[in-house]
Amino acid sequence: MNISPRNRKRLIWLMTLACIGEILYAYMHYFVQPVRNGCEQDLDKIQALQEKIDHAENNLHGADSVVKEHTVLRDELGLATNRFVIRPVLGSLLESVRNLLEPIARQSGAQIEICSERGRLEIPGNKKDGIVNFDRYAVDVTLVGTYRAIREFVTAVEHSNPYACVTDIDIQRRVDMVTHHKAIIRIEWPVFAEPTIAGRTSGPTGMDK
Amino acid sequence: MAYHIDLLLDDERRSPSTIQIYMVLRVIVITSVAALILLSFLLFLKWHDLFVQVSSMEQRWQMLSPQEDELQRVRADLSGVRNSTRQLHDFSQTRVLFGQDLAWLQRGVPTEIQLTSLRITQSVNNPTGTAHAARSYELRLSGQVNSEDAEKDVNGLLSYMNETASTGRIESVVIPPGSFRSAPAHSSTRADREFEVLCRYRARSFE
Repeated sequence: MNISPRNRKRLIWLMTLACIGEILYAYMHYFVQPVRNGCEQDLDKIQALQEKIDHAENNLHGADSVVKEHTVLRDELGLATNRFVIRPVLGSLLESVRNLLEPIARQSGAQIEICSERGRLEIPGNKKDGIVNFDRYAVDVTLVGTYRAIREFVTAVEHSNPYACVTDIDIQRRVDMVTHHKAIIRIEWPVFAEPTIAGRTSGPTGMDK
Repeated sequence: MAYHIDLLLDDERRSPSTIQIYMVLRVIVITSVAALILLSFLLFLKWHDLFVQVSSMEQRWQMLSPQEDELQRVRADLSGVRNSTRQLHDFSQTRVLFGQDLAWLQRGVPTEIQLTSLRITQSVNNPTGTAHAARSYELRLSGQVNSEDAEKDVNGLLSYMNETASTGRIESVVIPPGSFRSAPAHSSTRADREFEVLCRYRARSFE
């Protein structure tokens, strides 16, 4: 094929331009586009991370006061539950209460005749949060002593535990012994609620008057 | 007449234009390539910046994330602790320190009066309900008085107890109707009287 030198030059230029076009297309397709996609992905990632970080920083803003309150309340609760919430001795709450009351009665000068269990009762209002942590455990104590001894017994029980609640007192005079009286005292303490599998639905296990 | 013979071939002729097309094309190509290189560099720079920013934010998130998880755990635990503390507090709110009331009665009962029975009872209203359950306490005193001024002595006891009612702990102190009466005939002298005093404490709410 006979191509004139002028046409040959034109052809070379056309081919060169075609090559440049190809190179441009390849450049756009294999470099610019992936980089742009990468940038967009990074921007999305930055936006998502920024939202998470802002949320976390907002949450952490008052963290010190939350942690402080948690520490204080936890310590208070630990002290209260370790010292004042009645725990069973050998599985018996009554035994634990007896161990608690007998020294108090001795010191007060009263004598415990009977210590009988009234049982567990719910603390009204606890169910509103859905989680019941404590019940009240009631015991009837029958004791004999002078009015002063009975009074000191009640006072000592109340002072020994800020959660001990004397709910009923019945002091009757004795015909056979004028100075000594018979008293029936009902006392309640908080105890840990018994765990239930599907939440508590039953009513109180004891009786309120 | 002079003749000029043009022996140049067509492709040997020079363009009469001052701007040669080849030169323009060359400039365009060189400029395009330079622009592409610059664009590539800028794109790469932007990508690199974003990459650095993502890395830095990921590091920050990795630092914050465990703290946030820990805070959420503390918050959840705090809610339980608050609940437990509130339950104990509510329970203790309902108690009345009867030890001091027994002492207070001992001090206030006149010598002419002999108490035969002292009974404190409590009732929980709405015991299984969830709203405003409260304990109500009632103190019932029974006694005998053997003096000419029996009524005055009993009223003295009543006013002594009413003095405390003003502190707000006690709601009312009354002698129930018909409870101030003569003692049974077999055990009394003429002056013997029996009486009852009913003292109602203010209800103490569990909340």
